[in-house]
Amino acid sequence: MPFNSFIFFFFLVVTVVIYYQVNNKFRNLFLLIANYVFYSYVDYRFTLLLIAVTSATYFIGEAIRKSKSVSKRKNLLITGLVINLLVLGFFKYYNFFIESVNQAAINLSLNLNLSTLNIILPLGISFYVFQTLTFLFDIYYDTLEEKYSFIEYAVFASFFPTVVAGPIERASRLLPQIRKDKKFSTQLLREGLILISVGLVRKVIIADSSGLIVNHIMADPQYFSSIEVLVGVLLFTVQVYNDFAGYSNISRGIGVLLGFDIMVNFRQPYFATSVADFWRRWHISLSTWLRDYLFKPLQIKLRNLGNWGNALAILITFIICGIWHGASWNFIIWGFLHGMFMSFAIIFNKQKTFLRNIIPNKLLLNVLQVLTTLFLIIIANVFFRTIDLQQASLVFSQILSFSDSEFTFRFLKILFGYTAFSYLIDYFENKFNSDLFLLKIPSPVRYGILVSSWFIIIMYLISSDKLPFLYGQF
Amino acid sequence: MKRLKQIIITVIFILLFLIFYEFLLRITEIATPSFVYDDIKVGRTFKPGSDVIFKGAEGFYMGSVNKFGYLGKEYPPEKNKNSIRIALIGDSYIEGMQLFERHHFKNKLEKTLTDSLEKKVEILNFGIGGIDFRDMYFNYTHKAKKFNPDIVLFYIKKSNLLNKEKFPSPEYYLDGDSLKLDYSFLGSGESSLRQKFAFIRDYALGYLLKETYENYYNGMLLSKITNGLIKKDRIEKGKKELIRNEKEREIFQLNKKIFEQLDSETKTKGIKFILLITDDFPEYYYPVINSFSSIEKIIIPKDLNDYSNKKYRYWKASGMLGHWNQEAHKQVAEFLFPYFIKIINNLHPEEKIFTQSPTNILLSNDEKN
Repeated sequence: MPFNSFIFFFFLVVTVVIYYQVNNKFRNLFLLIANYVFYSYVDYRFTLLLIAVTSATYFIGEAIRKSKSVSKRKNLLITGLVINLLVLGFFKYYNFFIESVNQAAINLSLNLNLSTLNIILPLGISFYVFQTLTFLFDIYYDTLEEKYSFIEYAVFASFFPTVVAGPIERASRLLPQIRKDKKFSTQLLREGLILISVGLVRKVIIADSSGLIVNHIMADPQYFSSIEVLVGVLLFTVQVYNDFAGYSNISRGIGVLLGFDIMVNFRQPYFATSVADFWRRWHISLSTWLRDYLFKPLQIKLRNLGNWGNALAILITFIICGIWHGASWNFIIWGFLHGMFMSFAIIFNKQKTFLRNIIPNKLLLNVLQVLTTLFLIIIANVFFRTIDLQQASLVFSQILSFSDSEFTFRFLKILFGYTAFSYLIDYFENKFNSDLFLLKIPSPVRYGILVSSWFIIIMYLISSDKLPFLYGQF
Repeated sequence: MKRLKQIIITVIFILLFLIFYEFLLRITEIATPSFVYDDIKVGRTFKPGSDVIFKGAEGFYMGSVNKFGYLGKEYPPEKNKNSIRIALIGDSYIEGMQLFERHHFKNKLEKTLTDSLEKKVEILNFGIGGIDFRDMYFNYTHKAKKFNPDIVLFYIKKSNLLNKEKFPSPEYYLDGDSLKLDYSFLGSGESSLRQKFAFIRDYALGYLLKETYENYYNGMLLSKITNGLIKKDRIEKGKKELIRNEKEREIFQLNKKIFEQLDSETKTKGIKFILLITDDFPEYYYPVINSFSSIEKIIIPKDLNDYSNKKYRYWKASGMLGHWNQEAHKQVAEFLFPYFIKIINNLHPEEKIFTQSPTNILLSNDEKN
């Protein structure tokens, strides 16, 4: 059920109203049913898989908790990891793996011709698998001391505000909130509605409308001129941010309405002064997950190599980050590029001091760093957005063909409009250091923004094509 | 009093932010002031000089309405003696608001014909989305004709011949043997409502409102709100079918009369009419169109009219099938080229302007008979 639809608005209102009417004792059971109704909207079979993953992980987690033996706990953790990653691997990577093996065989003049399967990717599988894994890790590392019931855990694994596209919550953070009694208040309502409104502005007004242009340019770049393709690539950078940040805002808003504090997933990433800084601001729930459960163990293993070990750990982490996003060489290259940019920064750390010496003006240095970071992200984004390497090279070659367009001014004007609006929202979030910045401005201005924004959102949702959330496909 | 003051200030801020959004919508072209308006005399018409953008599941178009009120490259009503002028009339397929004009078949055709003939060929696009054959004829008589075309091509699909629910506009009717226009729509509540609120179309916000209203008018609102769970078709299916059958006979007579008018115009004014028709053209229309020998009939290749043809109908951006894509337009241009060469040559047999042999054979009336 997409967040940017009237049917979801209806579902949300009904769920919130009933949620607070239900006795505290049965509230989690009701929330679990609501989660499954929400998740079954596209295909009920996906829910069966979700229940299976939930059950397997829960019982393995409980077995780890009960076990006193270090080696048994480790074996159970590995079993849990393998089961979850096998599910993820089968649904998400099986066909990619087979196709890659077939291609490699062809390159070696062999004819394996292994057949692929007609697999439909379950909604949000990468998110909920990573989220359920935190349950195993948190029990294994003793950060989740209390025992939780199966229903509480199932609510955590299928929590509808986060199940499709995150934020990837930690069990040790969300489960205690699930257990806590909740009371409705107008403050919650106000905060929730503001977060949902800002999210919808980002998603509907910025991401969906710009996405319609981006989709056509990136699908058939050969039909567009240099400047048009370039604007398409830059607009995608605006689209993907507002699409995902919008989703995260809505997710947090729904969480607030239900009495939860869902983690902040974005902190003005396009103000980042380096690629490493970018990852401290972008998809924070994934980057911290990867940092804690992948990078740090790798870093410890490679510590003898010094800076080179760190660089290698980063590179491996980001290649896996790319693979997590999708089963294609494009995502692997995207991850590799991000990893490489950061590894370079570690190895050539002295460059920073050198830059500071030649550009003493702090503001100018900051602007240059932000622009350089953006440039690197935009280059990598071409691989993120295109479906294969051929299409990515077509995008680059179209940009470099320097062909003319009769619509240069209009394309630049459109790009300026979207970018300025996106940065304007970021500016206020940054200034008030909160995504609830609207609460901090005078109420007439706040209502002016909210009423006019909802007017546009509703009109747009009725009159134009809605686009699915980009991260929903991961 | 304090509360009233607060409400007034809030309303002022709502208006201020609506103005902000008006600017934002225009700059980003999320919505633009409407490029079509309802002319009392000629119905739905493009607004000269307005910028047009369309982005949806079926394509992306950016262009403008020229100062003469049609899409694309502008040619004034006065025609140069040495040029050949072709008017294209049709619905959304001719309008081509799914791709940039540079990929529209008219552009390639215009270039290849001009390159192949000693005369400059000018092709004018009078396509308007959502219209039927009667509207097309109206479009020809009230708009395209003023531009003195030598050749007029009507692209007609089966659906264009049938009855269609549409916005208030002049309608043809038969008064004895003559074709007349019914302007009774002007007195309708719907028409006055549209005239009364016509001003909102001059705003980008108004355009969004207009689109919302048109979704309501077309019965699409409920479908949009419920994500397609409730559709108007499902509710009114029986009723709609009945009306369609009742009206069909009357519409057949009207269409027949229009073909007759085109035939007589060829004979009196020398304008060549081409009917570019689809392979599913109703059989009972064949005796009618074949009886008018002056009108050229061309059947478009079956695969171009096949709605499931991925090569010509697939939009990669959305993964959906729909109107003709760039590949289809290229194909249409190549398909029509030899026909036009032959037709232009026949227009002026004394001038020998035909410099390149057509590769395809024109489907003659004799063959069809």
